[in-house]
Amino acid sequence: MNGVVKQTEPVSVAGAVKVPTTAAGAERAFALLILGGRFGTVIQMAPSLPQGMSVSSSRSGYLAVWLLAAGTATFVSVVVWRSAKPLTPRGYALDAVVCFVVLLLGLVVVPDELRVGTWVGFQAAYALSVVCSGAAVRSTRVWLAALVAIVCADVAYLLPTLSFATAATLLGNVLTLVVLAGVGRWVALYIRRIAEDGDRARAQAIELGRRDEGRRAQLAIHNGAAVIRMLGDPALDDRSRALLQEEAQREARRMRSYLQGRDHVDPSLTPSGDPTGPVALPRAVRRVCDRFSDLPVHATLDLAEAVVLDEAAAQALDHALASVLLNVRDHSRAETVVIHADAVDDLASGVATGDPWVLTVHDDGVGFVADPEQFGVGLREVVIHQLRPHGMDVEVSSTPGLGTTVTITARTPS
Amino acid sequence: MSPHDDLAPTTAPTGAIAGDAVRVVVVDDATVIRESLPALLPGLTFTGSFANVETMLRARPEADVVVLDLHLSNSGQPGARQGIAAIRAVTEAGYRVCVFSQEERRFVLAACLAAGAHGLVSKTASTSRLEQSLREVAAGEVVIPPAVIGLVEVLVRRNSLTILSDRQRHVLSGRARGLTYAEMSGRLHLSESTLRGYWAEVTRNVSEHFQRTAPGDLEHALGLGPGDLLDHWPEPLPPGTPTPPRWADRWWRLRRGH
Repeated sequence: MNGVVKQTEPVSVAGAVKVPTTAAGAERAFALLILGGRFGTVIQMAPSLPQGMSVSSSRSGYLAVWLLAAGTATFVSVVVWRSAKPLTPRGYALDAVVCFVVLLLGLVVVPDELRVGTWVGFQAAYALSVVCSGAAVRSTRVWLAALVAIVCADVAYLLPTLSFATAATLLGNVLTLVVLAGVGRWVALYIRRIAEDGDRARAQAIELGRRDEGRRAQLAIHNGAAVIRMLGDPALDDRSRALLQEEAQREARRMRSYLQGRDHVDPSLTPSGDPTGPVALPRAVRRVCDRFSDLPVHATLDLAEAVVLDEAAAQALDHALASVLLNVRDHSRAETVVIHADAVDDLASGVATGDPWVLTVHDDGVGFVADPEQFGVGLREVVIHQLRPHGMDVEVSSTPGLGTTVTITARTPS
Repeated sequence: MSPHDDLAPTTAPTGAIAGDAVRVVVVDDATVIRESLPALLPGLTFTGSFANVETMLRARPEADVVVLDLHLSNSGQPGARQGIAAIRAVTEAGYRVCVFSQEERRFVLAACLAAGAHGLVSKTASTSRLEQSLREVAAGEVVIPPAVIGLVEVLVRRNSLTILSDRQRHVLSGRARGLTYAEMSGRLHLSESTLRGYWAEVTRNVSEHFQRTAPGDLEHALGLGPGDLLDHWPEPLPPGTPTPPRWADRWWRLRRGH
């Protein structure tokens, strides 16, 4: 998650401070809002200090309450600035207690007639700044308790001024506290949720990207690893070694393309070297078979002569079919490998359902227990997952002792 | 099977597949092949080995199956019959022929069936597969390699070969994809023995079809050019010519209702 924060493009606040659009960035934005509100309140309180001291019944008492409020607000501003996040629940509880005390002491040090509509009676504005500071606190219980306490203290502070003429104003001031606190908290929590969702989405995207990169790496090196392993077999005959060397060259080109950040394109797969041309299915299959001429492969492809693959599908099929035949060469000990292509689905229903085609690779080797959960990288990634984006479904059936059948089914593109 | 001057059927060696003594004759110009096969296949009884068909036909050895190489002409016997001429000469003498060759071109292999061969086995096949194929040919079956099975399926799908039933077509489709009887049994819900019966009927029908089909018809069905098969394909049997004997009472035919 921290890595996500660092990778996120920060946005400018007031043309100066850069705040990233992450959950941590949202907390920092809250901190900046608290800083602005609290420090701004202190600045607004400052001009009225001399007047307040002069009209107060207790000059030193007024100064002490003013200093307590201003000092707390400054301290909170410093804390949130340095921590780049709102106050902790405990810190906010202390802040609310101080506010509660400032309001109640206002009953003593601020004349009744100056408590509404003047900065001499700064307590109401101070209370509002504290309530707003608690909008993003991470404890609803603390937030609610503090709000109730501050509202009660504010009511107590304003109550002596209550008259028919001031009632509406006083009620409005108290409701301002409640409404701003509620709306502020709802907005803060919503922003926090958006930011956290954004972080989760980014983390998921990174994880998907990482998986995709891993899959691409597996696709790029899987067949090559198999070829290298087979080339290392000291019992390899010269003919098989020559064929494997040819396959190794092809896989080396594929790996080099991957390392260079490019998709591998094999011009030999397309007619006349045209890198973007379509390829007939039998031709694409025969090219792979040619590289495995040491295997006892019998290919019957006549029934799919009309099937044409686009370049990307042909590439994917080439790689997947090579992976299947590498498995046959390496593991199956097959006496016969039959590759069969059919462009009409008459096996199941006897009725053609469009233009589907089926490519079957069957070997009469040792077989294995065909559990999709246990498929290795070759079958799972190189064969099944690589063909699926091109509309080709793969079914693998195998029985120990009876051989293996890989069935690739697709529809010709319209 | 014993040699006869005509095509009269003989009693089928019903136990041949199961391991009874199968009498084999080898015709191959390569001495190594002639002398090594008896050592490699001790389960079979080799009753003769010959460098060419002419010598073999003069000797008339007892045999259930003749293992025949396609290429018999060499500097030592430049006039020796070979290819489809050799197959026809041996089959017309009443022998069952299993071609044993490195030939892989499917049209040439199909032409061997058209000439009357009862089996085709590649020299790259394992000895166990060779022995199994020879036993099957001796038992009256027709052994067709995968390449020709694929060719047959194409002919069926293009309506050039229309004599197969739906079941036979299904079995042909499975065999063309390389499926074993055990695999097909699970998919088609038929016993393996029933499937073997269907396959035996398919191979017999295919063999007869090839023997009676003119190369021009096959060229048309396969999309080949006129005359492409002339160099390989034998003259078709004239109408009315009796086909080779059928083992009409084979055990699997009793289970046709499966």
